[in-house]
Amino acid sequence: MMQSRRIDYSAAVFIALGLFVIVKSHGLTLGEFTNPGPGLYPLLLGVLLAGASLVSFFTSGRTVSSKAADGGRRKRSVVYMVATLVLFRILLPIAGYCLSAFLMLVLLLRAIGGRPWPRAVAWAIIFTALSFLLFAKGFGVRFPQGRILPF
Amino acid sequence: MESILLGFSVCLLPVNLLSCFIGTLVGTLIGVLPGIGPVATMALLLPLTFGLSPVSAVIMLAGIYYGAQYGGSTTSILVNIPGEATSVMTCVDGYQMARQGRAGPALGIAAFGSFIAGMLGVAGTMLFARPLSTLALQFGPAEYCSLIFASLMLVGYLGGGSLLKSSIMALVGLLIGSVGSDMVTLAPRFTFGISEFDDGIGMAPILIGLFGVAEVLDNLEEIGKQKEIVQNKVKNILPSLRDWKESIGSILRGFTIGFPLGLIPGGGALIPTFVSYAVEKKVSKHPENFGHGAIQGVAGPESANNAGAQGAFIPLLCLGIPSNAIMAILLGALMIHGVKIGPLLLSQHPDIFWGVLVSMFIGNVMLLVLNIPLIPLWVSVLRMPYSYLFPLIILLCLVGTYSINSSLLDLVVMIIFGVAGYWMRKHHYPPTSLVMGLILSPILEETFRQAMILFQGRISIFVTRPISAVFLMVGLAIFCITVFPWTGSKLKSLLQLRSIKE
Repeated sequence: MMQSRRIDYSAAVFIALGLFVIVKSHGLTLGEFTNPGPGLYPLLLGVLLAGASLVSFFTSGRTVSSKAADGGRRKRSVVYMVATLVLFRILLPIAGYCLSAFLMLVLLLRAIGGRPWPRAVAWAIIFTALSFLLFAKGFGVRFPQGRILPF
Repeated sequence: MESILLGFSVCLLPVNLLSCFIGTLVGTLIGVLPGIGPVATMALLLPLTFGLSPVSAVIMLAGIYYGAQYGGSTTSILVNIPGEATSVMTCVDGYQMARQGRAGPALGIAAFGSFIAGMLGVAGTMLFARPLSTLALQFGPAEYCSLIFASLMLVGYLGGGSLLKSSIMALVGLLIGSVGSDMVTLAPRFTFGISEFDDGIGMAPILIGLFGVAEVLDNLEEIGKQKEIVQNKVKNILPSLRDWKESIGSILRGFTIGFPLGLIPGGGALIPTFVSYAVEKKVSKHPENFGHGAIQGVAGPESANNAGAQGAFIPLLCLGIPSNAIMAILLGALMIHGVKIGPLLLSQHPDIFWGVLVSMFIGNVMLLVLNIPLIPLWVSVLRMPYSYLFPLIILLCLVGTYSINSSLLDLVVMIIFGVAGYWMRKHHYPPTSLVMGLILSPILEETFRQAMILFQGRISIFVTRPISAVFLMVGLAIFCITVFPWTGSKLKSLLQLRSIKE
């Protein structure tokens, strides 16, 4: 499906960001140009951002080509990946590094990498062990102690 | 001469030699591997450099940068996939040479060409350093403000794509860089009550997210794809006399193209490779050979990218202005180590200045020694399927981020910027400009405020001071001509009218 448009909707994000910064900057001391306060610099940046984004909104649209056949599969992979990262962040203080890393790697290798379960588990164990030895023992990184495993 | 000896005395310390070796080895490795670039790797290794001295840290990080230029050529020649963007042109003729059973000469001339251009680049940097630093001492806060503006415009323009979107990214980066306590009043700005943001949002989690996680998300389609690696045994890596005769001109031309372009903000190592290839094809007696295994098509671009990489150090070391995202990270690393970088670096920290320069000389020797015999190792690394590689990269991103401050908030920042970076790539917003803005924001704000206080709030100072006016005009001209193309044609008609009248 081909459609030609001049509107770049992605710029709306930055228009909103610019307006937010302008509003928030007024809550700080602006000072004067002879003695700028903490709010002046971000205010100027916010105005420039909102202005540039507005111009981009009306002028930077592109011709959109037809979607790739595997676009849905790719979106799913991206969503799985992000969900796995979030899961790691949630599990880290609860389960400790090794268990969190192991689970994350198994999910990535299996769900996105398409590796069979035995290989996914085996490689997850290897990568987790090597990274723990390198970072925790080698570089002295202090991971949170998990409630399930002490490392 | 004493300065160079000082540089050697610094660089030959065992810890600095080791830093140089680790940097160049890691740089070559990530240059070989598609899917992770020097920016993400430097961001990942940045926390590990906190325990090193500033000079060791910069030597290691710089080694990653020019090491990646060497490594990128290996995968370009053997797999027809550029390991780095700067190795794209090497694919064209390098892979064809490999298919003709000449992978060895292609790899060899790429390594030697890079070495020669790298050495000449180091010599050029030493030559330019003092005069440029002397010139930069005349820069006041107004000049620095305008220079930063012109640099951001140049980076956006030369980076390709939309300058307007690049400007938006630079502004976003400048805003993110302003988060934290105000430099004068210490009033919190945009911290939303999070005490960890009082010193600003950490640079490393942002970089790792934007260039590590986002790159992996973008490359997910590589999973399952079979790489066609040239199966012929790689032999005759040392170039023959005939190879040298055919390539030496290209190598020297590559240097003369790459080095000056590397000096320009936004120039770096990428643009020189395209220009060099075009020039080689133009001057060649047999242009029909290009695209079918012409050795000049490998020698020229590879020399140009290394020369450009060396040249890019000059604005950073002499002016304190990074010319690309990688230099911005080096600037950030020095700032973290408490080193104020600018024209006074040469006089106040000659050990850092000359140590880093001489380390490039030693690093180039190490790279030549590493790349020739380790080619079979790089080939076996290339065979690793991306489905195993990407979880490893993600794990390194997570652990690298956490290791900075043992902060779970840093992981959240990394994930947010990873998703944001992926979204930005899909909508053609260049992350490089965001990084430049992020790193330059404190410098820009400080110089802007100083200028306003010094000159009693007169905005006109940016145009009445000559050097500042020149930088400002360059930046504005690029912006207007690119964003409003009609200004370019108006200017052209005005100039034509003027020449007719004369």
